[in-house]
Amino acid sequence: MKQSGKKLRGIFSWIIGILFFVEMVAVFVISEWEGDLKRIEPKLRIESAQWIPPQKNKTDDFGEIFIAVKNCSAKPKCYIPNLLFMNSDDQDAFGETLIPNRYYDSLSAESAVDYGNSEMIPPGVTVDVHYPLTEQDARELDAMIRANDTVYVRLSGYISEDKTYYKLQMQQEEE
Amino acid sequence: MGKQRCPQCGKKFDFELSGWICPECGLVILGSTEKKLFQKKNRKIEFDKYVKEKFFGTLINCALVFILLLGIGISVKIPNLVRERRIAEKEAEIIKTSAEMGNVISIAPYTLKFTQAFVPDWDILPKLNGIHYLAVDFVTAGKNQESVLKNLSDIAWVCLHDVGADSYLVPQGVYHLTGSDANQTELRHMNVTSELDKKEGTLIFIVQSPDREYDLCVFTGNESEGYGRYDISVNEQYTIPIKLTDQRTVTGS
Repeated sequence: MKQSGKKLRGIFSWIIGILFFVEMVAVFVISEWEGDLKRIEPKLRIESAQWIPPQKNKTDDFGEIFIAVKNCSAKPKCYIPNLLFMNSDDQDAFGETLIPNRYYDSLSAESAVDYGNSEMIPPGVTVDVHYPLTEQDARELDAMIRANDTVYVRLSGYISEDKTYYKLQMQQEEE
Repeated sequence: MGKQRCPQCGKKFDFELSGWICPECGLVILGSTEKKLFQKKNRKIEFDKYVKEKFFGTLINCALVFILLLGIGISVKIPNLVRERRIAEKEAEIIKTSAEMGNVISIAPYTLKFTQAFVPDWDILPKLNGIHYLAVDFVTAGKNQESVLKNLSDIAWVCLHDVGADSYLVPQGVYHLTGSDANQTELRHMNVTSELDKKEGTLIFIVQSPDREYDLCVFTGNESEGYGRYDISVNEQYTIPIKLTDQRTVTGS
């Protein structure tokens, strides 16, 4: 009888173990599926990107990158993302991050209140965003243009479409 | 009957052959003692039999409950995922409609009307360098609009488009407008809100200048999972050009 009990306990443990394994596999598969869902969700997309060179008569102007961003999803994106410019369209290419010129930046500086989350990109809407370049950014961009003539831009963070790079258009300096 | 143990000394002997008297200790085996011993032996046999026969049944039941719960969990989760995947794969298609201040906008089962837009010159709003306020009054009606659980803000939200700057601004809550508790209370009494959650209310936007071109944008759609005030799957957008009227003067505390 003792032998039989041991055998039954063994079978029970095996069955519980197999069920636990099946559940873990199911949880893993569903989590992966959900992860994929987040990756394919329409997000922000760059519609156009243009480099505007600095004005010659201004010493503190280093130019800017001007992009049109579309929110392709059905929900608003509650902040304006940073922009990366890089010398190739590889995932791990060298690049620099630019901070957008936000509507409330000057107001937030004046008062203690942070209005950063009060500006949004509504669903289905395309907005124009200016990314001013610092002296360092301008130097990096100039080096990239000299090196391979093509600069790629992409929005940073998870809210942009994955692996979507846009070729930066160069505006000729006005004479 | 076979040999059994004496309940007193434990010696094994055949009760019938020894004349119901223990050869070791001399105990007389009575009918009740015999019955007790018989039941004890039988119970053990029954328990062993139960373990042998019912064990697999119990095991199978446990497994079935486990599989059933797992199946329910998966069958609830998967259709949701499939539906969300279908929605996610396509870009949002949003119908854009123009409207005017004073028009009644129907967002079934509710209606919404923006009555006036003005620059509030209220003492309770702090006067900070570079900050200007723009206020918009609204009226809502329709099914359960008085309800604190269900109202228009579940399926619609508003933002202000600064056309010149191409920026979309959300209405400010009383906490962002002033740090004073007394003034916050006063603003609440004046129905200042950041959502379309009242029968009559006022939305206040912080703008760079009141003299620029502004559009009020109303986004409507379906309530979706989540608790954020903008967590609505939008399918329609109303654009209302702002025309400023004479300001509504209210003296605060």
